[in-house]
Amino acid sequence: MNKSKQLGKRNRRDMAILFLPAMLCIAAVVVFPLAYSLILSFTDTNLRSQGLGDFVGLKNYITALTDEYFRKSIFTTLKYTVVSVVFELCIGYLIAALLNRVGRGRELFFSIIIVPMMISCVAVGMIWRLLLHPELGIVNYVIECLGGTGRAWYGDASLALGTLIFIDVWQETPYMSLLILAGLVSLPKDPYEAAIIEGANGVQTFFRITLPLMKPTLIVATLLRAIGALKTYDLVYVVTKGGPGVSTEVMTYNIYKQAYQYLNTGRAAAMSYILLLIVMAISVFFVKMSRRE
Amino acid sequence: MFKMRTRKRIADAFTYAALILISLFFLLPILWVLRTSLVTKQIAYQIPPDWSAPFTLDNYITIFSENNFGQYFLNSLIVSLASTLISIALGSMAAYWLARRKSKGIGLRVGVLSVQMLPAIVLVIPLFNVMTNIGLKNTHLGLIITYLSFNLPYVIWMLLSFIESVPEELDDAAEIDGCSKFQTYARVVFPIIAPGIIAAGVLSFLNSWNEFMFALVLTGNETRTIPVSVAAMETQQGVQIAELCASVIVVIIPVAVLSLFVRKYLVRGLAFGSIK
Amino acid sequence: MKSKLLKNALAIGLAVVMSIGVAGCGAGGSSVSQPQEKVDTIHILMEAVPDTTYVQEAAEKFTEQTGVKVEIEAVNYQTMHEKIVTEMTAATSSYDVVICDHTWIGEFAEAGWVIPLDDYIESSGFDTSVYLDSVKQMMSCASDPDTTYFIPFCTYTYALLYRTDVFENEEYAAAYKEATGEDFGVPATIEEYVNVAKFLTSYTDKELYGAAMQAQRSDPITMEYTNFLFGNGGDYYDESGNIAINSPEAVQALEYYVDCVNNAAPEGSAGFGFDETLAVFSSGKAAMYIGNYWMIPQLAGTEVEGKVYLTDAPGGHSNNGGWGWGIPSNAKDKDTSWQFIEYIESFEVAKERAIKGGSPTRSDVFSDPDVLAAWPYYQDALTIISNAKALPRMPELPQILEILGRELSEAVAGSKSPQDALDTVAQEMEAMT
Repeated sequence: MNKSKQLGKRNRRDMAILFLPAMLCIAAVVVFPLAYSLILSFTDTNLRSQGLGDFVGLKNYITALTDEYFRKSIFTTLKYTVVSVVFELCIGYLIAALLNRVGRGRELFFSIIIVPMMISCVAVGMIWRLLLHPELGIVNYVIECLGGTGRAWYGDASLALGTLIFIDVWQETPYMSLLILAGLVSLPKDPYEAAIIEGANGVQTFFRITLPLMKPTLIVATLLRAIGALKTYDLVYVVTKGGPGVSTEVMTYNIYKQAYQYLNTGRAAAMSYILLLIVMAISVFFVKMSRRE
Repeated sequence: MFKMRTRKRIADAFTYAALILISLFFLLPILWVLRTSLVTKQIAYQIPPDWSAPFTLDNYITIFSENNFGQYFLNSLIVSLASTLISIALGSMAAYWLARRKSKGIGLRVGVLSVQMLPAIVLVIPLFNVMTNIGLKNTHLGLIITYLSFNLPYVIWMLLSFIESVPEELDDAAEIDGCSKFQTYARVVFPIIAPGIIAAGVLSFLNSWNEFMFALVLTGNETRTIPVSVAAMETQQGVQIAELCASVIVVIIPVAVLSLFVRKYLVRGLAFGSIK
Repeated sequence: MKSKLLKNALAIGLAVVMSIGVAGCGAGGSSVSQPQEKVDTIHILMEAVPDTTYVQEAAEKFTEQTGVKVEIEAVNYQTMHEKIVTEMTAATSSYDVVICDHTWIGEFAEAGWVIPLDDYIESSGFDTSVYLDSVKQMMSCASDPDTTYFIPFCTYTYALLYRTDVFENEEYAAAYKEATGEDFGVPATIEEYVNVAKFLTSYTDKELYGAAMQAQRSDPITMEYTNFLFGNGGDYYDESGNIAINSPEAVQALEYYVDCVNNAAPEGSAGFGFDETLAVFSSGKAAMYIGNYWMIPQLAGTEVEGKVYLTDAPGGHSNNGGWGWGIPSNAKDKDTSWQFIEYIESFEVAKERAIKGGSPTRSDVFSDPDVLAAWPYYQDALTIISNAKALPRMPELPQILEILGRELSEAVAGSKSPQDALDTVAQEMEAMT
């Protein structure tokens, strides 16, 4: 009895050694800025005037939520995130499954497919602006050679968000396939052998065995990507600057403008916290889902 | 039997065809970047393309001689590697702790995760103040520490599921043999999750490699990283698109070679991991 | 137990971090009057453009003369503001000299981020009377026009760049005459500009666009629309200081603008920034472009080399963009900073930069025979710059332009009528100032 208690104590101490260093680092780089921003969000701090502004209660939150453009940007962000992640998940899974199937040439395909991940978002944005130039871009040229009509891509309010999603899919799908491939490769063999004996067909095997086994991987991959998409900033900044109109204005871009263009750091902090709440809600949902047996 | 083999052949053919198509989708833009990096800006913007335009290495020479690209490359490498290694060391331990807790506290998990989802804008100004004050602005160390803010939670999160798939009985067995928790972690769990660690490492390396916002405000001439130098090629007098493409190619090549190497480890490691 | 441990850890971490961080903020908040230390290197934040290269070259002589090194950090225009703002709010800045875009003048001056230069100007006998009148506006802010905060560095005044071969084309002239009953020529008013541009686009069936336009949200669209606004007799504020951005002239200017983007410029112009637009123009696909006057030398080696000339933007008044040198309030050694500005803007150095292709701001450089011999078109550029109007130099200008950019882009995208869009801008301007 006494001994097991002692063991428990030792365990706790050991565990603390494992967790503390990371915790301290996180505290150093994150907790302070976070606390600072929280305080800011209740003040009317503006970078033009020195120091902290006056306490204004919930005013920043109310102003943000009553701002038509900020509300719009919330929807744009959600639309962007859902559509791009769904595409990335489906295409990513397809690629991973194909890669998992082939023997020869796997290394080569793999190396080609993950190239977009290595280019910084800023460069990706500028490259695609070159490729998608309506008059002088190679994409429209090829489309026209094939008999189609070129589009204005990022210059057309009804297409711009789709164009951004397309670029995001081009850049981020490799990431998704990488995570999914890692999951697929480590799937146990036994259930499949059992399924073959039972005479299950491919579709049945997929839904009854692969999908349940892959669930944790898929949830983690989706969640990480969704967070990435919610935070998207560089791409919008480089390709469209939120335009035409406000068709591609995502939350981070809106917040960024508030902080650096309007210099209202107080209000920007409040807006960031709203973004944070949204992301947390989504994360809790995913984590709960992954916990469900 | 014969029928099955034919079916497998057809499926293989489809697989390869699909993979080739998909590879082209990712590769063609890159090839266009390569082509652009070898011509002048005028030719880059010429439609229909002038296929007979002579190739030149001028853009590559420019980025190394005028833009000091070699230095930026080194900076990116130092910062990304160091930050990734620290994140792996600290993050994998923390992940182990989280995974083995009796109560699977959702709050704490989301807490860790929420750190990763902070938009950089929230952190930039306060971190800038801190870094300026402790004299770490415009240093590699400052940026390395800053990058922990997203790398650490990221690694923790990636590794959680890997560790959870390691049966706890292995831990118990080690502990009965007298290992402390740390020893159990280092000797038993760490080797098993090695493939996961490599994957997480590669990804968090790429996160740092491509990070822009922190790098912009925290670096100066000597510590500038590649994304910042690439962004500087968009000026009020136009985008130096040809040089930009050249620097993209210079960045891709070593990392692509590295990925071939890493890929082997990934496969070997994962095969080892699937003993469970 | 565990949670207690966690709490303790958190508390310790927080305490450590807070003490560092709070110290940081405190220092950032105090206005410093430290004793000046001498620096041996001047750090400047600039853009990666040819002018910067010329400054770098000129700086080498400065180093020879004074022993002070000059280090220029070149970043992207769009990110310069962020980087400077972050630096300016810190206790000491990494930069000893800043260059400031004309849209930031009011903001920088009124936030106290840059120091008044009048004492330096007086004690060193620096002659500021040589600057062109339209450029002088960039030296001070709206609320305090008598204090000098900036020394003009270069301008990027907008002008009408047009294809001489197109306007000499008799086929176009005859067809235009037949279609409209008017003579075909380089447009002098905004209305003519839009009509000629639309005519060329439809007549050539988009083989040649009438106008290359940069209607991307934020910077490009606001700068371009401002030319339409000024050219159409409008302004941001009227003479008595009332908001005039939704005046009938301004609304009409926007109607013209929207018409022109959607019916005369290449499809997708609503997403074009500077680079895409220049690419269209220099590949010979457009007849006119309201662009920066210094673009002509840059067209060398393109399809349109030797076929482009410039004149006053339609309506006679264009938007006068430019950059100025300033000294940050948190610079370490302001005397050396001034020494550098004084050197780099002296007649000899400014002249040398102009001959290389830099953009001059001094009237004596503009009229210098050597400079004119190198760039004969500066003769005409001088008139254009003299007629140009500056944006209101108030602290809220960056925000106003941001709002304006959003609403203009909404109007171009068709989601708002020009009147609604500009009414929204006026309302938000009202609320802000």
